[in-house]
Amino acid sequence: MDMADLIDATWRARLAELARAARAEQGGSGVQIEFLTIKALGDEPIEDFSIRVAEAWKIGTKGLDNGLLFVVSADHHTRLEVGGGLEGDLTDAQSKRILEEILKPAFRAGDFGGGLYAGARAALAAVHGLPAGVAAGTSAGLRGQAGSPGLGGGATHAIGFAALLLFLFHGGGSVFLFLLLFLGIALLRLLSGGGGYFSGGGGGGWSGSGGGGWSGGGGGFSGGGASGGW
Amino acid sequence: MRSSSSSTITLLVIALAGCGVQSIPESGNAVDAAWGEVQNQYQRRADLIPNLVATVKGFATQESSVLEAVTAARARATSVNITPDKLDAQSMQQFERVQGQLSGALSRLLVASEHYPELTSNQNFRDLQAQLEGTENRIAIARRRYIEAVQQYNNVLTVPPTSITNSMFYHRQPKPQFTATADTADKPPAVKF
Repeated sequence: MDMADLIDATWRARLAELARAARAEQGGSGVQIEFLTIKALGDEPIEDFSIRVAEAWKIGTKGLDNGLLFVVSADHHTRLEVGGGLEGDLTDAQSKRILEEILKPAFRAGDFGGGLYAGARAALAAVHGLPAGVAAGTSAGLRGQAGSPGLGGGATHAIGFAALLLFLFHGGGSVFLFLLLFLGIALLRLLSGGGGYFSGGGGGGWSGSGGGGWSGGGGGFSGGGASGGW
Repeated sequence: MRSSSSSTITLLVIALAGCGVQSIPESGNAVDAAWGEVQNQYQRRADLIPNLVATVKGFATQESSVLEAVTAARARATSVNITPDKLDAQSMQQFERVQGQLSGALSRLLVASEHYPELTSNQNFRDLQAQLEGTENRIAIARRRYIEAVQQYNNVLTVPPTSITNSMFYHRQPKPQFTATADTADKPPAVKF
């Protein structure tokens, strides 16, 4: 996304094609590479901004954590954010070199599109994700499968229910009173509408957005990569 | 009779879904995982230091006291490891203190390094700086995720109706939070290029 309007249409098309081809590798779960240019960062460090974007866009495939994000701020800051699954092949030091040795000289010459393209190719090559002329075989089995949270949740509920039954048989009346309280609250919530009680969207559930592997959606980022400027 | 008891069970299940029986242990596990990641990233930083010290030593011959301080602070920092079940306010404070001391010592080393042009233009040193910078960034992110996980967990423990479940079944205590104060020792060293 070229919000700072730094890249001309030809380079935009080439970058988009490179990203599409890279993603199409491995039967559609190849490296997902994204580009973002912005006009200014304000007071926010580019590292904070970049990880927010990476988390919000959910770049990469869940489980493979194979996302790459180039952020360019027109106030002379660059960052390459590297997904957790790619950190081994594309180290912070290598990321830094891509920014310093490829992006920086090109950007100084005003060639933002060409610099990004060359940098992206170098990053993809480092993680063995550079799209080949001939499509490498289709290994659809690699695609990260979305888990079925219903199973685990159901089991936990069953255990909780069994525990409650035990309490009912062994425990005193106060336990029963608490149960009635729960029932009342549950019924109130059901009656007041606002989505199913089981959906976990409200207060109770672990609603993602924070942690790495547990959050829903795409690839995880733990802050790998490097920052630079020109 | 049979239908009324089955409808009671249905109501019980509905009530349980939001009462914390599930969300309390889940949130607790998320905190444990987030804490593991915090320690992981600090360990990663500690692993970089021997190499960094060796590289600086080759160029900055007059900085032996700064280098010794870093090595000593690293030894203290790596000796403090806290498993999630031992994590309380006191042990966390200790963890923060030794890691903060290491941050301070590292920052002094990097400032001193600036005086040696041959060192700062050395590719090995530059790579190490990039790795250190990346690791400080990972630490910051791991800390933020821990803070968020603890916030979620402590809410589940203290806000009804899930707090009632906790006081009845789990009896769990809130997890300690990072004290993000203006203490300079807390801040990661600024790595300038």
